Amino acid sequence: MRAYIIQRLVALIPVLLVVATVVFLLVRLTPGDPAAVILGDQASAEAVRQLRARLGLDDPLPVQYGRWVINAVRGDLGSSLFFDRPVTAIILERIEPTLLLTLYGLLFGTVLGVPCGVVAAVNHGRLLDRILMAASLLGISTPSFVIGLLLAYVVAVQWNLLPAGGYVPVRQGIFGHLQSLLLPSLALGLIQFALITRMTRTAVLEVITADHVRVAHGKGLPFRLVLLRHVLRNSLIPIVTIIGLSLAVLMGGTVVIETLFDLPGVGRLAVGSILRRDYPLVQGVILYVTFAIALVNLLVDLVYSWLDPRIRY
Amino acid sequence: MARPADSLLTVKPLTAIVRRARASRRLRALLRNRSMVAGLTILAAYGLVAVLANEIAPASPFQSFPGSRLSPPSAAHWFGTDDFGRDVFSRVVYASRISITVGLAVSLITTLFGGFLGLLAGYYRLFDRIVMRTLDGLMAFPGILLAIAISGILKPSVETVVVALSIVYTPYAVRVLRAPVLANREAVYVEAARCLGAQDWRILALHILPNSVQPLLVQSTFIFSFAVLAEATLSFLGLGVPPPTPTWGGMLNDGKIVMVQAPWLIWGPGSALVLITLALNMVGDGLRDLLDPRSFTLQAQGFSRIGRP
Repeated sequence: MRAYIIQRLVALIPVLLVVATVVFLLVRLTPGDPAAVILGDQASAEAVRQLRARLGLDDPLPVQYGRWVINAVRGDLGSSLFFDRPVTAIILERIEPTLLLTLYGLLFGTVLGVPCGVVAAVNHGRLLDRILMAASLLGISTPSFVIGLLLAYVVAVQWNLLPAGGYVPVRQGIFGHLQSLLLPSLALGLIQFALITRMTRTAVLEVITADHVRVAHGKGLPFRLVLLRHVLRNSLIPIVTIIGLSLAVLMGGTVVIETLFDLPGVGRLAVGSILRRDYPLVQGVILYVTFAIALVNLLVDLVYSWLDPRIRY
Repeated sequence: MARPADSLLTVKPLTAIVRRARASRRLRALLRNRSMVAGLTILAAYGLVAVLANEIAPASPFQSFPGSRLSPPSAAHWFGTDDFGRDVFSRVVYASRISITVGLAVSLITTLFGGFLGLLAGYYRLFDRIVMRTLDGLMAFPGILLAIAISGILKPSVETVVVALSIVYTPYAVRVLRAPVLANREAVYVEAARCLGAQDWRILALHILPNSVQPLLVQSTFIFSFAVLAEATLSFLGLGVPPPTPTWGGMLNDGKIVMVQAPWLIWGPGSALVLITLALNMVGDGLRDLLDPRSFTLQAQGFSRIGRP
């Protein structure tokens, strides 16, 4: 097990290197001079030239690339052109809202989605199933920012119950923190909820006709236990797969939700730094996201072997 | 008009009868699937609105009514007017053109290009390694972030959005065709064709493709809906189709700022967006039920929705 984890982490290095190289090339080969962007329209040509020299933008591409990779390996992702501070520090201070928003969204989707999927499957073809399926179809069809706008309008503006934007860190009180993230997490998690409900329903319907379920039923086990021990347990693998896969979707969703609800997270940082052509920051954020998703995938694979002892690494 | 008896017994009319019977069975199954019929009807309505936008919209999407800025829905302006005094209903109608163009273009490009790559990747092992490594990298990354990066770098326009979203969604088309090709490559009928001396292109185009293409057709419907949603998301963030061109996402972004005074700016474009995605999803689900159920594994069903923005 430990050997497997180490092996997977080592396999991550070439992936990160490839992503870093692609991002480096993509960002550097596109038109637009960051020095000119930083200094604005009124800057003199001389000032732009000086800044270019200071930022090392005049060096040949391979030299810039080499310098960047060597520093990245040392844990130094360079300095943001816009904030003029280390990239790592900027990303680190923005992780909290993004991480917690993703976590709450996932939690909301899973805690609600799995039971709803089971209920739908058990009532297959009946009214309850149809209502749940129609609701989840609607959830899949609604972009998270439309849900966010609706929630902000109804709950924050009309009812004045919760803040329509802004972030309260955990340190400043858990209650205010949860209040600030409740609407964003709901907007983010609703799609998760819809996806997980449908997947759970399909998986449960597939397992429920299996022989071992009929045996459990036949030997007189209460329906609740058959469902929990024999059906749900065996349906969990595809459900966990979907949860793992949809995490990339969820992280993409944070970009929009953070912008909409004015949360100082990594997603909004990504949009801002792309617009400002802040090369080092763009590279840093993309590396961070790739790393985070790879870690989650590893976690999902480990959960597999815990759920299904037949899977060994 | 008596035809010679022997011609009734020849094989050709028989296959024609079987084909016709199958076609009518499919048609009946289609009509029985009410949610798919509803979805198709809604899509047809959207298509009509997009084509006939000039006739349907009461005003030009750019025309400003100076006396009535931010006026609520009325007989003159069904969905009200926006910050610039423009008729929201007309803008919603014209915006359907952008969404449908982007959706159609992206789903066509990804289906053709991704299908081509998937066919080759499923058949040639070396090619498979190269393509799949690249695509796994692309897919591991949040699609919308990739689209933002690409459209942030290029000049904002409809074409840029189409290019960015095609890059993002091609891997989903490749995956969905590659898996059945991989399985069919080992099938007996392919071996038989090869024994008869058929060349690779013939085996791929005439034998493997028809037997593997069904999941891809369903996926392209979903990619259509992903593209519509993603275009709206990009435009909402101000990175998609630039104003003043009306887009649902852009209109929602405009509406966000004045949401407190003028909530009607959100209802129109919001419901237009949700309704078309809903219709696409209903058609996709219906199509899957209609086609051969064996080509859709449990996992594939779950995967088909992954990647939506």
